[in-house]
Amino acid sequence: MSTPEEPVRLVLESSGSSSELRRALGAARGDLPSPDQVEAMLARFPFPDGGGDGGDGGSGGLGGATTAGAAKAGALTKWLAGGAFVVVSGGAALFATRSPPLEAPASAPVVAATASTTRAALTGSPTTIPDTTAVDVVSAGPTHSAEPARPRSSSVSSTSATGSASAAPPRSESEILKEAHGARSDPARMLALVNEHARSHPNGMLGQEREMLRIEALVGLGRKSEARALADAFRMANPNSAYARRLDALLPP
Amino acid sequence: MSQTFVKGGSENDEAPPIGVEKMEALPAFPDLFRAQAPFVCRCLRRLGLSAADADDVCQEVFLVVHRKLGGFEGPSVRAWIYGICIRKASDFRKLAYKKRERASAEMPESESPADGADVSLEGRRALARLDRVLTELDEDKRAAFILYEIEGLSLQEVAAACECPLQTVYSRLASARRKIEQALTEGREELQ
Repeated sequence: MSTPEEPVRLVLESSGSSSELRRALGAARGDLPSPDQVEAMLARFPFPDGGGDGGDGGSGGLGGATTAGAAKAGALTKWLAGGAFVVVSGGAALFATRSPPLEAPASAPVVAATASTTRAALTGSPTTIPDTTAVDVVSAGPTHSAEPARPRSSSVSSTSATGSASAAPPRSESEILKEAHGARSDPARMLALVNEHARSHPNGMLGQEREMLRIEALVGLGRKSEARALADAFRMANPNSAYARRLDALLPP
Repeated sequence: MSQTFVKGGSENDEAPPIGVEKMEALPAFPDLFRAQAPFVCRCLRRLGLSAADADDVCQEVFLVVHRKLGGFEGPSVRAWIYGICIRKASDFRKLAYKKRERASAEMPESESPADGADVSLEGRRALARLDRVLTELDEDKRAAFILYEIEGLSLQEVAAACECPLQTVYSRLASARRKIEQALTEGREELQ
């Protein structure tokens, strides 16, 4: 089959296009965010050291992430070492017998997971959910209708993780997760933010990122058996996942 | 093993060009983001997202890029990113539809083009009309048109981004061109 010849682009006068179309295409090509806007977007990138206020690693994260060889692997490993994800796909509840929390503050939420959902989630209310209470699953149906239009740049305070945000519109996925990344030094808070994300975006596009953070938080809280169970469940459910290497770096099988 | 992408060949010289002349290692992720995010945002806007939603979806695009960059082996990183961009935009529209929210099918003139863009008033109006016409195309034709005519990809790259045969891209592009010219002509006649 012959390769079709590339037509003259309509933005060029020689294409015979109308002047209005050429003008529109020219305007469309010029419709780019400014460098400052791009930097702001990069700063909001929900990874540690993505340029924003999140991340406590300072020297690592995206700034050091390259796509070549060991440098990339190292940077990703470092990033992944802080991540956590859970995809629970089939099977029984994982944490029915988890050990008591080690250093988790009273506000640490409870991790729950079942195979019947891919969203292990917590209610996140420190006053109503004892830390040792296990396993509840987000059984509520999809909350798409409750998900508001994405709030932009609203710097919602951390109180949203404590249940007081019921009156406030849920924050965007990336906003919550970026804050969670920035809370790596405080695993309990990180977990609370993860749970906030699970509640407000149960079917969000960043579900796997969230669960990466969840496992990291659990590791940070010393709840490694839970983290490992979630990791194992993820591996079982997603044997070919792009997250496999990251997961192995965090919790070797 | 370092990864490579191919340079040269892309009609659009605003972005890192893609083609067959030279192989270079991919840049570090922040540099890749800085180089490609503006074009991803631009593409998302033309795909019907509001500026605010384009920002968010752009983030999601680059989350995927970051996650999968290690496994990327194609000849054109830009086409690969645009492919993710198209799928994310499609997902977003479907989700917005499910939520019974409007995915900004029409581009408000007040926010188009981007702040700071050096575009005349006449250009803004023409762009607003083009955006309206684009929303009337089906997704496949719109994507082909945007990637070729605005983003400046080659037909090969458009085919890679859209994951379809080259001939299919060609026919989609031809159809989109006809419909857009026709719609703009009819719009002019209505105004006159």
